[in-house]
Amino acid sequence: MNNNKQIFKVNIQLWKGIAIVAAAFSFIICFLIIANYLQINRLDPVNTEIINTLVERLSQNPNDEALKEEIRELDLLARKAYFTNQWQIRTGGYLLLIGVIIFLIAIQLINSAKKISPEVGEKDDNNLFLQKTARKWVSFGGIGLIIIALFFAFLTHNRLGETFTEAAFAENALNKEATSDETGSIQTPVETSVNETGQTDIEESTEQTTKTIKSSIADYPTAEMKENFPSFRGPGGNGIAYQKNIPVNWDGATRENILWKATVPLHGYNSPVIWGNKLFLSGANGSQRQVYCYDRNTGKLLWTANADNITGSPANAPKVTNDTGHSAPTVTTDGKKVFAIFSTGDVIAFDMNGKRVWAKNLGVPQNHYGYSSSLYVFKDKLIIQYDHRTESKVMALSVESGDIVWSTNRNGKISWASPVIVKTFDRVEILLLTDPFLASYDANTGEELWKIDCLYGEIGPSVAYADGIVYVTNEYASLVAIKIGDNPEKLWETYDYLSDVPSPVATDKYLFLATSYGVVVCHDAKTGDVLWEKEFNNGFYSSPILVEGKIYLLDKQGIMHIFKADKEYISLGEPKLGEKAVSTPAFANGRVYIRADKNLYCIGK
Amino acid sequence: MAKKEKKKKHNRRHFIDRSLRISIGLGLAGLGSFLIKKSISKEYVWQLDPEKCIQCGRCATSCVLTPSAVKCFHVYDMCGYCDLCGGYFRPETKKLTTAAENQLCPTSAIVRKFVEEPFFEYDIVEELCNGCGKCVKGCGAFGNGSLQLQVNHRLCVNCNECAIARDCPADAYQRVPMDDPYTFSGYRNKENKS
Repeated sequence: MNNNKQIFKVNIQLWKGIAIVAAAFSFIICFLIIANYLQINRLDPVNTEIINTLVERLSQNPNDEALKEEIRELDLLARKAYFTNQWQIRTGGYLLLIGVIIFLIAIQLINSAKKISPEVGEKDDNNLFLQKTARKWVSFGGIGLIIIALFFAFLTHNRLGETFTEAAFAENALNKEATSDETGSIQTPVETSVNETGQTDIEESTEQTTKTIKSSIADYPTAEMKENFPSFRGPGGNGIAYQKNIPVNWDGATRENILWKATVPLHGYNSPVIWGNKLFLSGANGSQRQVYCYDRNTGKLLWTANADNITGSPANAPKVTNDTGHSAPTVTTDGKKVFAIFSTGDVIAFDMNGKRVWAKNLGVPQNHYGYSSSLYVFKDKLIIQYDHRTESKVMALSVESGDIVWSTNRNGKISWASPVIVKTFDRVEILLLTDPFLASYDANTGEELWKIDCLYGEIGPSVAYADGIVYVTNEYASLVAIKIGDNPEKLWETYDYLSDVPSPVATDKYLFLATSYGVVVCHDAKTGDVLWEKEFNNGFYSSPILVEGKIYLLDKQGIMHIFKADKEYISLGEPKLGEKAVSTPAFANGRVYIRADKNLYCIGK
Repeated sequence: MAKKEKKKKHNRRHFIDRSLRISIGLGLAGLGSFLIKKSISKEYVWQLDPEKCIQCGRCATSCVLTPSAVKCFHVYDMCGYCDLCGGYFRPETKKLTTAAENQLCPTSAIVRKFVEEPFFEYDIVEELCNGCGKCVKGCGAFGNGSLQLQVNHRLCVNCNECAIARDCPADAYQRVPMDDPYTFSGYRNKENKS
């Protein structure tokens, strides 16, 4: 008996030692795996862009022995890094698992070998207690293992996958010339500016853009943009139009004030945009993607351009829901080119006569309803909010070539909202909303300026901005006013009326919010107090536009509710189009343009 | 009364005995039918059609495995055993040596072996190949197209929804019978089918 006790004592000590060693070992392995993961991200060993550049240089000077040596060393290093990292992660995973198992066994043995004093009459209670404890630890252990496994799976596979994807894109873009020859359709070869580390050339673009930053701050949106209606919800996407003499009455049934009506070939939930005498929009189905240009004075379809034969575009369009479709994002224009993006991730640029300038595929967005963030142009950059399931980022492409000028990763979820670009006190900011945060990015460099957690859910509405305050909302979440700046703060929050599709619009004094169930609310912009609320018969998907001190808000049945942007609800008209509509109208002097279910309307006198 | 009890006990045992026999019988029958069904029904696996493949590089990046289960296969029957191999050498290579600056493969997964003047043999080292398809593109552009990408079924985990098939821009992925899982284009394919 005494001998047995002696043996038990020795075993406990031994297992305690094993538990400590196993815990320390697991911790070190865990640390090394994380370090390895970070190293992969930093080095991006599969991307051989730098070697390609050196080889190109060698072809100009074939006898440069030093350069040859450099290439060979780099090649060896890259391959070593690539395979060693893979081996290390794989082996590290196994070692970690073994370490954790040994640790758990040791702990279990130590616990089971502990001396338990008999307690007469409390046997049942002890059993119950032991069972409860065992259940608890089994649950915690299981959850812990799952979390660790998910954590490492996420770290190793997904991020590695993204890195590889970026490398493949870079390679693909470099080889695009050859491919475009095969397809015979892409007229300008596209090259990305992804460098050898897999990150985009932010520094270079920063240098270029900082020279012109002052002028860009002074005039955004530019006078030219204000004269036109170049993007979804007007210049910068803030829901404000700068046009004059906008009509307040028309009737689709009698054609009163309907100047022309044209059928749009392919369906789409995007809205029209205007530059000069041209009006642009897009349409798509599972097999076709098109951009249309109309003469906005006559309604004549000037050209139709197909977005096809794009390298990397999926053979089958991704699944989308009927209420989003394949062309939910609105096109944009800078007066020289028009840009469109589709559910496939195909982004394309045409000149004003419909000739293709460049096209590329950004990777199919993993979005269960369909991609819907609209495009905007800031100076010489095309701004794209690309928040989908597998990655979330905002990027700027060169309007001339489609090259990535900058790209900033975001740790958000899928967003169906669109960017809003505004001039704030001393800079031009891109405001992006996703679950769970609102973030601001420098339009010149893509640098994240500030971020604040404020919302959750499947974000549909874009933000509204006025007088240093951003207003964000989403159904089942809240309506929040946020004072912007390097340290943003919530000014007020309310939960009464929330939007799931239409974006709000703000003035310095008031905030107007429409809902898909037909209620329109006016809040005091500074306090959040409800100044008025009105329920209409039909709901709204179209976003309100502020023009000439009036709000133009189109309901789902095609009735335009026009009212004063004021603290009291004063209706100025409720003209009917006679066709269902969910798109947001575009404005030109004396004209309103509405894309309805099947037709495009021009309204004016 | 005692007789009744005895009868009851006997019936219960009999009932349990019969239930067990029936359960075992049903279980065996079910297992048998499952195995028969499995042996006669065809199972399918993912494979890519080399004739549709555009070597976009996504086979290397989209697979759930790292490195990818897609590998380059060499259809030797089609190979010209060229000295200047478009799948091995970068375009515009000046000296046909195995130096790093001349090799197209980013992982150096192709081994070039001298056979006899002027022929060289090219072997793929499966462990090194990451399925990027650069060699396939080069071989297709300048050679006979004997280097081809295929899903290696010793490695593939046969996902229900293949991640590469989902991302493939050429729609080159398809389900093929497990007993004929490779779809080489060219001679090897013809021989397989004949």
